[in-house]
Amino acid sequence: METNIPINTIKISEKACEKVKEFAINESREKFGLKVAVKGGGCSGLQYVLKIVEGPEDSDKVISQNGLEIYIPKKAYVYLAGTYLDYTDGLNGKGFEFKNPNAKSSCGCGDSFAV
Amino acid sequence: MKFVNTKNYSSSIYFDNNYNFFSMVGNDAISFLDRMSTNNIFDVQSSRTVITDNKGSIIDILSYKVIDDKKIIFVSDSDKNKSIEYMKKHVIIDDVELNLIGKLSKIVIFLEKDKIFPDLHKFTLSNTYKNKNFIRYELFASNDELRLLENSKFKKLSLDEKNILDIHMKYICFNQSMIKANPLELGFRNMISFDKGCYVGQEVIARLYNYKKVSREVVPFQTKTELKINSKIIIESKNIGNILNVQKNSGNFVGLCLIKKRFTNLISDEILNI
Repeated sequence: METNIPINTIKISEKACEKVKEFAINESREKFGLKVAVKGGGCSGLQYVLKIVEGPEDSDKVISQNGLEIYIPKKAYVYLAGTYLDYTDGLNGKGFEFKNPNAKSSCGCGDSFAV
Repeated sequence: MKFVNTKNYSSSIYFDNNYNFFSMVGNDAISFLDRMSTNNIFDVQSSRTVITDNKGSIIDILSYKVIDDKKIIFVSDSDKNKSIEYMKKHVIIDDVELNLIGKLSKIVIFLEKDKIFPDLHKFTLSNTYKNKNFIRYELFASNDELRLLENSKFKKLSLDEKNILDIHMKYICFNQSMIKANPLELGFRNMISFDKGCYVGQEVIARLYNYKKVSREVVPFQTKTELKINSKIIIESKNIGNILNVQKNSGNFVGLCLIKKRFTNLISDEILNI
């Protein structure tokens, strides 16, 4: 796991990038990026949002990594700064997995967190 | 426990205070309230729902009505801003706006179980609660709607009488000074959807329900000792619960307490010791 993520950015693993590209190609998208956000809800109060989109909105912060553009709404950024997004597959894999240093607690499935 | 002559109150009304009346508007309004509270807002269009924190403790209870796919109106039981601020804090990327619309009068009507209040649908918001003797209607009405009650023949209740009837029905009027509790302990099972998916507090509430780990329940009591709300109930030096509400009733005090289940059989006039 990546441990040294600068607090003012988020990082996405190579594997997670490849998986996003794979999903986008399966959806026949030519132009795409990954929206990473947070919304109220989930067992713990805040839940992660992952969405393949065509491009950023005006209020999104844009980060480029491993040939993939990541769009983060500014309001969600405060909850995500320093996060590492990974992808684990196989029998015990959890799919996309957030390692978020702002999360004080998470729910059992890892989809939501509290700060 | 019988401390009410039900026949005296078979058709009675209590006029409560005015309550703040809010709207939740936006493309994500229904999805947002569904994620923030226990009821299934998509399926149950008009009811009550519990706002809980991530530990499953109650923050507030809302009476709500879905107006269309972009608008919900609601009133908070506690009529405090805490739950509104709590929800606003969770609006991050959702298209949702919470606004104070104005004030509505709250009216409580008690009818005998077999009687029906026919004008229920004419009021802005309403809830129904039943037990074996009564149906308790809670209405939130505008000034125009209040006129619908002008010529009614209901017996007018004082606050004390209304409180006694609520205690008799084991109806809990939630307020934020109440001790921390989860909705299952307070008997709000009918406001919880167990198949709608995640909402804040769901993991804890679902686990308590599925593993039958709800450790406390609401029990009515009657005593000659004057008790204070939230005070501890001590039996043989053990804290077994707390007083939720209390009301003087012809020389005695009646109320509801939240008691650890294994001690509920001990609640009687003789041993209640605060």
